[in-house]
Amino acid sequence: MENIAPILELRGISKTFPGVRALSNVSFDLRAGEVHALVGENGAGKSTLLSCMNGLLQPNEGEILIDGKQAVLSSPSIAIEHRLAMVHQELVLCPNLSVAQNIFLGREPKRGLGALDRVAMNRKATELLDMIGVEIDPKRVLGTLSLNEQQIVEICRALATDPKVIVLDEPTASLNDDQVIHLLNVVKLLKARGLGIVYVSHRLNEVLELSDRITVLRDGSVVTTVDAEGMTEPQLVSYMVGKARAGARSDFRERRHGGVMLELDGLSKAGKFQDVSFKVRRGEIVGIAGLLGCNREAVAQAIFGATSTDQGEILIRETPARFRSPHDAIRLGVAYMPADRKNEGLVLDMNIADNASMATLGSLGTWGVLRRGRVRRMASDIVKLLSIKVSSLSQKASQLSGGNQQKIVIGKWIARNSEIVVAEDPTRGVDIGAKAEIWNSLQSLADEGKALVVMTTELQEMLHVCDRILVMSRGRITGEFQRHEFSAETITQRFFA
Amino acid sequence: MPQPLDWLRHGTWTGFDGFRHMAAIEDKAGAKPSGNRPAWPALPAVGDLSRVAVLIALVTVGQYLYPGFLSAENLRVILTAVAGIGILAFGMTMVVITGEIDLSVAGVAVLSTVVGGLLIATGSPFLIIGAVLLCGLVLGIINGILVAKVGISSLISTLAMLGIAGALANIFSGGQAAYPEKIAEFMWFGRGTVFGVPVPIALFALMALICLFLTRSATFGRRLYATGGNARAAMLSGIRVDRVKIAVFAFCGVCAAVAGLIESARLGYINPAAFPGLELKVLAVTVLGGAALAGGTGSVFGALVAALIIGVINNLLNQMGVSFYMQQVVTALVILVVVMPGMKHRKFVK
Repeated sequence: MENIAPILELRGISKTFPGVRALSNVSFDLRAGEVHALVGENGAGKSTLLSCMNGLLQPNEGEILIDGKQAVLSSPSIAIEHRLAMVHQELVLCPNLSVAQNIFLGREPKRGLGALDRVAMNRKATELLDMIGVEIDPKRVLGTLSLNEQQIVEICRALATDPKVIVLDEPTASLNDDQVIHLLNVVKLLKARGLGIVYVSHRLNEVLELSDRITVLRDGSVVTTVDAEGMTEPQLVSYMVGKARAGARSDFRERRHGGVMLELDGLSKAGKFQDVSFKVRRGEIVGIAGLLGCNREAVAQAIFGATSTDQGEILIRETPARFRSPHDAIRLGVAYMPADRKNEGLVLDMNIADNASMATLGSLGTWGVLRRGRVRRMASDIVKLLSIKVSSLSQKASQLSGGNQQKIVIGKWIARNSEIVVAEDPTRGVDIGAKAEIWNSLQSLADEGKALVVMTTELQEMLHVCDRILVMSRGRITGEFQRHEFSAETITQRFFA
Repeated sequence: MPQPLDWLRHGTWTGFDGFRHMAAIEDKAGAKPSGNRPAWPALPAVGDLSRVAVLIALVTVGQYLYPGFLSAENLRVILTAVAGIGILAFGMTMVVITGEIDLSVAGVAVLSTVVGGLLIATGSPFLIIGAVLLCGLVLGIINGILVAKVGISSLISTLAMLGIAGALANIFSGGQAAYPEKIAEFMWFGRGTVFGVPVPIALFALMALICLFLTRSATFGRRLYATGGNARAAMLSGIRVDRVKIAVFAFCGVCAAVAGLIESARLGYINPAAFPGLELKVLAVTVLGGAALAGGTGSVFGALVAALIIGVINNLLNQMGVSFYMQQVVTALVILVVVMPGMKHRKFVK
């Protein structure tokens, strides 16, 4: 392998933003037919480096070489001309257009007089889809596809530009296990076709399985570039977090459970869930496990009054409660941390203080006059308490990393002192260090006697922190496990009940 | 030992054991609190400052060309001319911050004043002025309910309201103008003074203060920006987004009624065909003030400066003897020039 010249090489890249040095002296290279993974915690500089690769940002120092020749990537379209394609973490597709239209968006095949050649477009789309071995009708409207099918369309869109290098930014972040396996096969196929692949992911097992080499970033610098063979997950983690924080994880804490805080009694919603009954006591963390489509999110939203129910009751502190809106639920002490924190948890354009105070505005004012001192004090208390990394309280929420954003959402409810906390995927897309911190703070809430309902895509995380796990399958509760009965196998079996 | 956030919970807080443990860990790790800087800049945002700069530049040019430009008399003329549209722009800005739009302002202003005009015969200023304001409020609330409860897009529902209110004004009045000259209190809104300040200007200032308070200093303002920035997140944080929207539409309706009152008193008659195309002029001032139609951004201060910019330009062009139509071209160009740089930045922000 040594003598193969890299098709993409970054030398001594540095990038500074006002007040922040996002990248310092980063070098990275990629050979044809290689998967080179890029790992690091949120905020390590991965996104900045990717933006430099696809022309969205220009480095202050350093050079980019493509096929050994220096290139200036001044915009994403120039990067595409240099045959560098990027697949973004968040899908940037039009759900109202067909698969083929999405794949060729802006590069539609044309006939004379600039007329759109639909036949050629659909044919080429089919070729691309065939090439990576998936069967999707190119005429289908994108919005009707599942998330991983859309992800694959996004990859086809990148392939349609005939790239030599393809950058995959967390392609598996929102996929379930089966879908991940499928996607990894697609990546292997591309590699076999001789493409160079830059692969960014938080899921270290898949990084180890897939890549030839791994570059670890920390605080904007390269810690090391290693061959994936012989690497282990713990080793990678220690590179990523540094010595001081290696082994960071939230250990389960024994707690005494108090009275019943939340009870669902035969709760049903047509087409979503049926006859859901369970109790959550003070100081208890109850996990709800299940596959995608088991509709546990709908149950969470019902507890929070964000969706209506047909039958059954919700009891808060053993009193039946009726919620017309989340406002009613919040008044009774329910908090909800949505999985989609960017679209549901935060107002990205608002600053940290405003976001953190969203659920507490009533008590932060006197006669409707906002007491800015109190808002600031509350926000800075939350920032300290949850060790959120911010440059100032007037920083916009959009500028924070995923982990820090999630902490703001948690902080919002800590300020509210909600007694019942429903957390949907609180660690989604968050790095390992922040994961431990988030579980620590959620456990701390339980330690204080709050009742928690959590649901995560990764069962392991729930096995680690929950007192009890309920399993949902197709809208029904199909199993209940006490902590001493926890085993991934038996719980997973109930997924299919 | 006092715990973080204790102070917020008044007497209800019971314990914070878990976080005591956490706080200790962080102290050891030397985590640095970073809340020293204020959460809000004490000064207006950069965009607002650039608008202020444009305004100062225009005033300087005006004073250079026409030495009487900054005289009390000319300032009075400028401010009186923009008072109505400025007040409307405040209401519109608040609606636009929530991500909605109110195209019905002209219709609401006309119908409210016409309803007042129908009551001239009673001779009761209280009844007349009360009816004008109440009508604006009710129409605004209807707008808000259509948008927030019924769920019709504000572009459509307020367009319908514009048509209906304008037509009703003609039906109620039989197409005839009404003359409120004998009602001194009504005329006071256009021609009176308070402490030597003409009432339109005083009202303009008063409404500016109220709106600045509502958007910047009241908890309501935070709800306003949260609603426009991300209505779903706001709703899931317990903010009653529907009420916020109804409130801003109601407020905008009252602004329209006040503006209608000022303008018809200045003219001396209530015209059921008044203010054609007013909504677009108001929208222009709102956008010039920095509000984005997507919601979540915008400021009353910006709208205030924008109204002044428009007033100064029109006044200058009048003094230069530029024709009415040419004035419109120049005003439109100024809006484009001032708004453009802001948009460039916005392009990359989601």
